[in-house]
Amino acid sequence: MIALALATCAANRSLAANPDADTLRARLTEEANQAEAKLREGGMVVSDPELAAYLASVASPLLALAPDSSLPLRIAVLRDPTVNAFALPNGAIYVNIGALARVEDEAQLALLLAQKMNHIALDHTTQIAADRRSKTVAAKLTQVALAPLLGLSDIAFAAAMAGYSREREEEADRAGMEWVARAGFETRAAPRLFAVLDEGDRQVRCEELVASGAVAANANGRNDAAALRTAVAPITLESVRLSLALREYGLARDGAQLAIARYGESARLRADEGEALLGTAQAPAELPRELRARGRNQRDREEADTRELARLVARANEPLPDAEQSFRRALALDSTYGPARRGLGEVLLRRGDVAGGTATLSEYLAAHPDAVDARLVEGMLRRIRTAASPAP
Amino acid sequence: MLSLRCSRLVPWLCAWLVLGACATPAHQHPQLQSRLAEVRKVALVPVQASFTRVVLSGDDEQLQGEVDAARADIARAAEEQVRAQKFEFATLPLDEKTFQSDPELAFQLTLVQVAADGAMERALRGSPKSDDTLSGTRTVLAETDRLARLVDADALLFVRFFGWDKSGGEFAKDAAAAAVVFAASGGMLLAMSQPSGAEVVVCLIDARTGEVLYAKRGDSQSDASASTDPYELTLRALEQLKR
Repeated sequence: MIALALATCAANRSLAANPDADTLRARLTEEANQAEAKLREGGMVVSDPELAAYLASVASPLLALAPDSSLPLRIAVLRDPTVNAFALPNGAIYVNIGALARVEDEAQLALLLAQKMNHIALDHTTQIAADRRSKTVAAKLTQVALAPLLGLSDIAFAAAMAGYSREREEEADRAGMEWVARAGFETRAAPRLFAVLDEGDRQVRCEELVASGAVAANANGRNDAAALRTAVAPITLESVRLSLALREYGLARDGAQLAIARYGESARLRADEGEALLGTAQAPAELPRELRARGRNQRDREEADTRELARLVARANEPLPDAEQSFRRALALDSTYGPARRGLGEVLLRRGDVAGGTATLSEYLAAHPDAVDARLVEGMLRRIRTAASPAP
Repeated sequence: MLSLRCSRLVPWLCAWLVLGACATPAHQHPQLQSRLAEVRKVALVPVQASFTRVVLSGDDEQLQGEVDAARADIARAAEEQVRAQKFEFATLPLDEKTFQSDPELAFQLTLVQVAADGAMERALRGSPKSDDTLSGTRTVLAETDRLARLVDADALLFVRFFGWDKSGGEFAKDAAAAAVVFAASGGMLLAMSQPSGAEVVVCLIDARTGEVLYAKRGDSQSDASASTDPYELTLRALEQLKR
């Protein structure tokens, strides 16, 4: 665990001096401790001393700005490829490897950490937990894949994952920007964090803080992008691998392409890119919830959903040429790289080139007879041969 | 107009009713018998279990004692059914001590469980039609293989259990709400939700290919005896796994 046991504090405002709030806070702290224990038991927390030291070097000047309190802030990295970070009511801040891999420079990383620190310092984590029966919290909890798996149904965890109201986000964004400036980072570069997180409106608000002079620009402040990229290189690759393992193919594709742009191409990254593209080329059995039509008339909704599903099915194979190109590029870089050859075989089959696909998969088996997926590929080839042979 | 406050249990019950309504023929691999013929040993992966007591105050409780008992019952039922089909049976030796000596193993287990959860849901929805090589836990085959090798197993059995009951106060509140509806509507009966419920999902995965060989969901609502007993539910969920 990357635990920076650096003391700091929380300024408790709206819930201060409220006995019920104190009871709630104590309960939330206990639940957050339990949630953390489950994350550790599940092997979810990154253990990398070099990364820990680097994060400490970025976090330390921010933590020095926190008001005094008994609540210690700690930073840990979660082995989760989704682009997310969250703060727990016990002072723990978790940054997913997916988020760390996408942050572009130290100013952005400082804002990410400072913003989460301020959610704790401003007592937002407790306030949102007090509103735990809200539909937002309940709905968001169902979107957290790991929560039910690890038994993380606690209110503290649910609240942390649920996100905050616009007002609280704005409050933490502003305070985070102020901390970034006071800690000596190049504030002007920091708001791009929200472009990376695909939250453009927050980027604009933070840029306005700098433009208006409310927050110092620190044009020559600390912002070593190269140091960050070196520090997060291993977890960037890990993030791509985990995205593929969890079938988050869009994340995997973006992660592989980002890694290629930053660190240069390799057979592994090109094969991962191909695998991700192959994974995205799946015809959905049903329309994803977020794409379903809205409206009062059920018949209209159903017709719209049917059209949308047909469109998705028709477009399902569109990524296949790019996938083939990625696998071929990987093999050009390293002709012995097995996953690229297997992927090429699969993509050829999917594109209707049965002869080319079976030949490529056979080559893969011949070169890698002990591959972990050898049985799976053998089964695939057997089915193809059976389907091709004339019925007796 | 009578206004009824929604119980916290309503979303659960809706989900449960939907699951019950969609329930659930067993998913079987197209070549199940030939594939099972190649399986010598089945290993039970640590059971994912939860048991919630819904209480009037809103602070629902996770009952660890019930969870531990359910895990033991499920393991017993799984072993009985697996051995009855002449497979060897093992439990993956994954405990705190093992994880301390090999922290990566804990993460591999987490990954495989996530993948298996997804695979069993897809299998039970019947969705992996386009390319069955992409079903199952293919994306975490290396991790699946490593877990299976711990006990030299050919297939991994995953079981997920979800149980709940209501405290006396919560149940009394539901009864009172039903009585109010009955009185206010001039005799309209409001179906009372059950005081307890349970669901078991089982999934057998070929450790060498990652494919789902068998999956089945069973719950106390669709079970003829309305049993919430994890032992009984597990036995029934596995009874179609025959060779």
